Amino acid sequence: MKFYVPDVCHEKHGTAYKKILLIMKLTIVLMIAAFMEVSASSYAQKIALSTKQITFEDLFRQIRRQTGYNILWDAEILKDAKPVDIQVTNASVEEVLQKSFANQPFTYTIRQNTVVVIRKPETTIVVKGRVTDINKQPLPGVTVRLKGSQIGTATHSDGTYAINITGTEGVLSFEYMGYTTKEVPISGQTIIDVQLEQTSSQLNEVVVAYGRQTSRDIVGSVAKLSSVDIKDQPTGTFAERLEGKLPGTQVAQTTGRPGQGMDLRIRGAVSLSSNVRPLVVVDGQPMLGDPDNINNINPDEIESFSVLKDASSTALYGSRAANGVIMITTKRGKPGATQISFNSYYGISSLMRELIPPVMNATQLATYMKGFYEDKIKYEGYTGGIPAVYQNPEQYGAGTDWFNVLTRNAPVQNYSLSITSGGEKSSFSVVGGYFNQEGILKNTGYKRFSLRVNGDINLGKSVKVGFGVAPSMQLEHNNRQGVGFNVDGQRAIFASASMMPTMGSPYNPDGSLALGISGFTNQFVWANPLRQLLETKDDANRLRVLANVFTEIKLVDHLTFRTSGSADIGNMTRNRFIPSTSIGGFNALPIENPPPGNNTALGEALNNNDYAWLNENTLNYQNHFGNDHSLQVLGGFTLQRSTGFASDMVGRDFPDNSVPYLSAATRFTTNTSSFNAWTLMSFLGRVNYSYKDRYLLQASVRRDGSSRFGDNHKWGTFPSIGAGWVASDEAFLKHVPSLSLLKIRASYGLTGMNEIGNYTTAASIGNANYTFSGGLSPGKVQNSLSNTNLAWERNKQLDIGFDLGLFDDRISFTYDYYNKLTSGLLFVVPVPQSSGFSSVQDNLGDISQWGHEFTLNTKNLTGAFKWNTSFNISFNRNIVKRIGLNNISFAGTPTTSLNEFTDYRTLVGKPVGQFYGYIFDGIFKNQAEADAGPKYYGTGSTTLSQAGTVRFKDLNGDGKITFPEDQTVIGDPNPKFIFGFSNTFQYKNFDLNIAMSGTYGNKLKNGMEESTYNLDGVFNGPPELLNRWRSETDPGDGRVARTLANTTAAYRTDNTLFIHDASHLTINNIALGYTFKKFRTPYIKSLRVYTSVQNVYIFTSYPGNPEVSAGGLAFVNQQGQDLGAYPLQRTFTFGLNLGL
Amino acid sequence: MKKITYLIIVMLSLVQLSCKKFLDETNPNNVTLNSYFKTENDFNLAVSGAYSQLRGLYNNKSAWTMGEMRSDNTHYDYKSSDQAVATTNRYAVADFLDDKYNNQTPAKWNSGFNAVSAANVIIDHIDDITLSDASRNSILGQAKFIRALVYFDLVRYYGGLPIYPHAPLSREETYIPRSSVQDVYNLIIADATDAAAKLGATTFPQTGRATKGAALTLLGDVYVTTKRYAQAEAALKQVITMGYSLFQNYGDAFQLANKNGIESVFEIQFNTSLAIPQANTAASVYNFLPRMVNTLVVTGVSFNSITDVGGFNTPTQDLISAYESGDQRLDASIAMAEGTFNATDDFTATAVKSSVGYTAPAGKVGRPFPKKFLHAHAIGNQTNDDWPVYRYSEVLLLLAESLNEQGKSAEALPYLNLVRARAFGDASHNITTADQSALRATLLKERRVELAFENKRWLDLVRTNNAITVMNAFGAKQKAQYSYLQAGSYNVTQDRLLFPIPNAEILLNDKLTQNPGY
Repeated sequence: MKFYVPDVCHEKHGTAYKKILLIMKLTIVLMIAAFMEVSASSYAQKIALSTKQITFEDLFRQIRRQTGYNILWDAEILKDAKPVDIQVTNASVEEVLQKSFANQPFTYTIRQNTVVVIRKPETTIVVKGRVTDINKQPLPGVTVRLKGSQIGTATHSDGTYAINITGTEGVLSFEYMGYTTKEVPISGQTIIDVQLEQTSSQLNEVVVAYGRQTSRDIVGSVAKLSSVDIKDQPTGTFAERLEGKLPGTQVAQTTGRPGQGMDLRIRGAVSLSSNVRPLVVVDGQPMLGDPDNINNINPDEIESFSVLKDASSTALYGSRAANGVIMITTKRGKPGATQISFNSYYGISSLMRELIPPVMNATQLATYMKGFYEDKIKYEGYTGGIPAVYQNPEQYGAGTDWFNVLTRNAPVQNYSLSITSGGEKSSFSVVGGYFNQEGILKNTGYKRFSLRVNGDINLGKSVKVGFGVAPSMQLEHNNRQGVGFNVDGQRAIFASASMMPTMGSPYNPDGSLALGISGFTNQFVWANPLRQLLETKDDANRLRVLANVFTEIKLVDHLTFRTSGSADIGNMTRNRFIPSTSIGGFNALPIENPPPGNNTALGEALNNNDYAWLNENTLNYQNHFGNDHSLQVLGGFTLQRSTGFASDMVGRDFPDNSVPYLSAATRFTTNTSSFNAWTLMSFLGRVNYSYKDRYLLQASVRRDGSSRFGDNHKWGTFPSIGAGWVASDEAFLKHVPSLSLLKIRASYGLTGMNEIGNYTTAASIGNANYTFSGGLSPGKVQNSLSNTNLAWERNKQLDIGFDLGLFDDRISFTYDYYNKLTSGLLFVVPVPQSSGFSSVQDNLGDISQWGHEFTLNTKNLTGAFKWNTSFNISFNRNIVKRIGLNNISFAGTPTTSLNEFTDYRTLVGKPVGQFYGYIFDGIFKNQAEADAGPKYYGTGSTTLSQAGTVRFKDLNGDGKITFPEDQTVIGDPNPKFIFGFSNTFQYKNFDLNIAMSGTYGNKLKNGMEESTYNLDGVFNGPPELLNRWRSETDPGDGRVARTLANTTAAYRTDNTLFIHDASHLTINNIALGYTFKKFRTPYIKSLRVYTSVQNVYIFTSYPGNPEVSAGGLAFVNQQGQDLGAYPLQRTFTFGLNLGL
Repeated sequence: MKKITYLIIVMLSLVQLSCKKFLDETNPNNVTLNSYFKTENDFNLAVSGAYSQLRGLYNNKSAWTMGEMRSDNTHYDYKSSDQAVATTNRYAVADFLDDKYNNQTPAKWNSGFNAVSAANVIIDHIDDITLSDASRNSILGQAKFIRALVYFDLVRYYGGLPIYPHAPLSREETYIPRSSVQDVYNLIIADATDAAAKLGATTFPQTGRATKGAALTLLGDVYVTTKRYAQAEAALKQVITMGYSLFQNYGDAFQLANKNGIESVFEIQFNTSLAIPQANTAASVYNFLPRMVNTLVVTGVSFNSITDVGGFNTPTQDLISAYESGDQRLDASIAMAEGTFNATDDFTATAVKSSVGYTAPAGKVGRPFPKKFLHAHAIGNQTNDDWPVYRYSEVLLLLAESLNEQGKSAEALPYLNLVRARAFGDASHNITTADQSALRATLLKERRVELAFENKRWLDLVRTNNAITVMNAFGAKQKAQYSYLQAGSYNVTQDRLLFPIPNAEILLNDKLTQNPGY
């Protein structure tokens, strides 16, 4: 006898109780039936009956009379009984009962001589099957439901499902977002395979500002990316996986620091002195796209990204939308079976050595230094002789490879477990993750523990409540940048490996760690970088909780009210200790037991407590009128307040290095605490109207009031309008069979920017202490100018584009043109310092930006061997139209007075942040050339040019090289275009993904070369330095000047020698996967294993990481400078995706 | 539905009511100007704040770069491997190669005007509340003293200056043209006169605040500079009745224990022992020592001064030679750091020796440094020395000068000889000549040695019209001595007597004009 073991987990929560009762009933019935088999035969009296339309009550009386069987029944059960016709002779009781009970809703059991009439147990069948798309790809998560019942399930990751159906009749419906719902009558079938068709590939739902829209209805420029598209990449942060995936979005690995280092910029966003990072909205919670803000999110929590680029799609974020918006949606539970998936990978990262320009080994450097002194003796009358340490260069051999000393192969591992479960009334999703990346620089690393719980509960028909809670803990070890200990940065620890004498060793002869590298005459001394890495403790621990709760109430038909509350709680503690043996660095040797002062150990305790809350209330009206008109109206009101408390304490004069906490410090150089806050109050509205689903119109407006702006301009209004036309639905194009979609879009709108400090409009009075009679005399002084007229930065943006689908969307193509005028740029305007102030925040400056974006997705092969390609390319341009008051060009900060060494400028008529300097024109090979050529004066009045010195182009033709006359724009850090290219292949169980991205035409200033091409013999440098000018008969390679004292500074003024083409093509990731289809155990539902390589290779002519940028992408006026960054790593990974 | 609509309307209207308040975030970390100057204490704090701005003017590398290194008193230790912009720009000031892009000379301008603005804010708001006459006079007197002191410093370095009628309240109000030198002096004289009238008499021990004596000394200096000698005499003669006198030994004037002492007229205050230490760093003796990996032997404190701190304001042999034999001020002012320079021009000190009759032993060099600013301190480059702005000996010398210039040369001698008798320990070196021009030269030289390293020398040379001849002659000697000096250096012309207006100021404020020659 087969026992039915029901799968409780498959059932929805609300029905579990019923099912348990059913199980109990069934068990009793089966037990009784078992007895019956034994006992029924003992009474064999026969019955004879011939009657029509007899009631059961009468029938039972007849049976009792003829056989002596007792019959028990419940009148309630017999209530629905139909009278029967029966004609038997010499029949057993059972025969009579079977005949008469056929097609009745009850049955019987016989125990000894008693017949009990009971309700008929419901018959149950199991319907199984597989749901695929038209390409026979399995569709996981499809909702399978018995129509008109509570019974439902969802497909597994291999597309299979099993559903228990009572009875053999009914209709199964298969629902999946973006696909046409299919209904199949069961009609007794037990295997039902279904193919679902996509409603249209262009009709996917996309998360937009304050809601969702189908792609077809969108009138703006929105790029969508699903988490599936960026799987398999062993990166801790999602931003790292976006490289090349989103058209118009530049993503750069500006540093290899674990857990950090990715920066985003949409449509080449520019501003003069403000942050240009996009706004990131996580499940409705807006936050600035600072790596610190978004790296807490476990990539496995993310369901999809949408990137909102044009004004019509971003204007609902008003004053924060100017730099684009990235919408992140996290996974939520769906009705259907509980799904458990486990994702994990383990990898090994190593230094991308090919990105490190070679430096002279010990023999080469000692040879260089020997020559340096030979020339000093020969040309400068130096009488000190060649220092002993350089007299025999060969003694050093290859020396120390500092890059090797500082780096290691480091593991990266990730574990992520997610459970989603859902029923009719409620659904949940839980994702827990652990990520651990050890840095390739020794003793650096990053760990993240994260959890996200999302839940949705339907309270009755018209009320829905949802929540999301995402706590995360990020532990950063020795990754942060800070005074006195920098893993990256100019002449900091990693950069020092390029400059430090290779003759030196990190170890003392006895094997202990040396204090520093010294003793090489004229070469700068250094703290021991290895010791600095190993001994320093810099732990930044961040706890972040994102939480939101919302209620949606269907007020009446078509009208929904939604209110939500979100909180963003962040806490960072940074605990640092740099022992005295690691204090120092460039040109400063640490001291083992220093006296009080700046050579002592440094301890710091820093605390940041940030808290933000947001309340959003929206009303949404949605209706169709007639067949052709569709209207959606959104209105809303939001309030947001963000606060931050910070405290910082720095202690020095530790008696020794044994206790790393501030309780041991005897002097405090910093002890501060501060609080700041901003508020934002907004009204928003949007109307979407479509006629015949093919003429689309959208208008939106947001009105923002911000605490950050002056009393006269607290409020700003940001309207937008957009229209779309689905031309392919017009009759005249319907008959073009190859055209599956043609949509033309246009939008125009105004967005704003508010990325300035919190209290810049008021004239503030700060502390300025003094002392009288030997005592402290607290003082105050006004330290800023007020500007009550400070207002929003305004961006007017036009976007025109079209979407094209051909051959059943096997080819889809999107094009967008945009033109953006940013006016009233928020700008720290320098004022004459004779006023007593240096600058004031003001709206002065205009930048024009425009660009073209192309996206092409093709399904090249669709058979057994599948091949899809996705390609996007974006051209962004910007021109500065006006700066500040007098169009004065400026460098890093507007107040920097410009000199020969300020290497970048923002100038009217050029893109922001141009490289500036002299044009390198070789080396004067001999004195005759120097006499005839333009002579370098710098700022002096005597020429420093002679045979062997650098030659620059004389731009004004006066025979002199002078600042500023002969300096000019020598490079543009803005790329001519950026692109991404990815290919996915699938054959049987194998899949292969190759993701590539790159930029073209951007220049990068290698600021490292200011040091490594220093000819003064103070740093190590590239082997090319050995080919310098030595004499007129030995002029070298014509690129490297001589080492003569006083002439070398010219060689490292900013000139084209340090400007390099940073065009590159990066193979970001190659991943090969294998999906198992059959399992011996029922516990595994799906399994895929893969191996991938991250940062496979970077094709570039740039000597280093071509994406490095000292200021990241966040600030445009100092982009594209390589000052030495945490090196990039290549990671080989093995991973698995397991479904349970 | 209706209920909900009403509810929303009520909610929205409540929200509207609280709109203004919700968007009003005030800075809790700083007071704003609008809510300040409500109590007398606010003014007192602002006065202390204005004094602290003077540190920018005197405790700043530009102060000694432009005031002393520009002159024949000091030079620098050339280090060929340090071609840092700040270093070469500082060299350029000393060598008369600086141009309007020089990044060392704007600091004086910028910090000076910070102090002017701090004083202006106080003066602008003084009538906001009712103060007692005593308080009002004290506050206004100090503010005006500070404003006069700063304008007097700046006008001598830069020429005509923008005069702000009040502290600017908006960007538009920051664009002010230069006034004539005469107008600037008129303002200085008015302010200093007003300060002298309002400030209380000097009492000992002094607190470090400006006093009537300080204001009158300033006024006397201004009058001497503008050649109004009779008025100078009148002002300075008041000062000598106020109880000031000279310490017995020259060196005592700079002892930490004698801060704000009997000889002090006005000095910039520092104190490293406070809970919030107020250290002298940018004008500490460390800047004036040779670059050393470890300064222990010289300063008693280990400190690495290689990177950018050391190697400037080195006393010249010309200055050392200016001290007459027997002048105790040489030993008190200058000492010799003895040791060796290595191949990269960094110094290792083995001893500190007296500069009197010094000759270096074989294999070593003696490198002079301004010893008068070297006193006990705990942390390298954080010294406790006040910066002397006016000392009583200068009052005496100014008075002597004002008398001599009026032809009352004999009358000048006692004041001059007070200074000399203290310097030599007795009257044996007293000056007896009553020849006006001889005495003029004597006074200039006396100021040179008495006030060495106090940033007076360059201004004295300019004021007495000696800068062009003295510095060209000095330059010829320098070029003969130092091969690294460029051929075009020390080309001292009339234009070189003023420094350029910082180029950024010219760019930002089109109402400004540049000084000739830049």
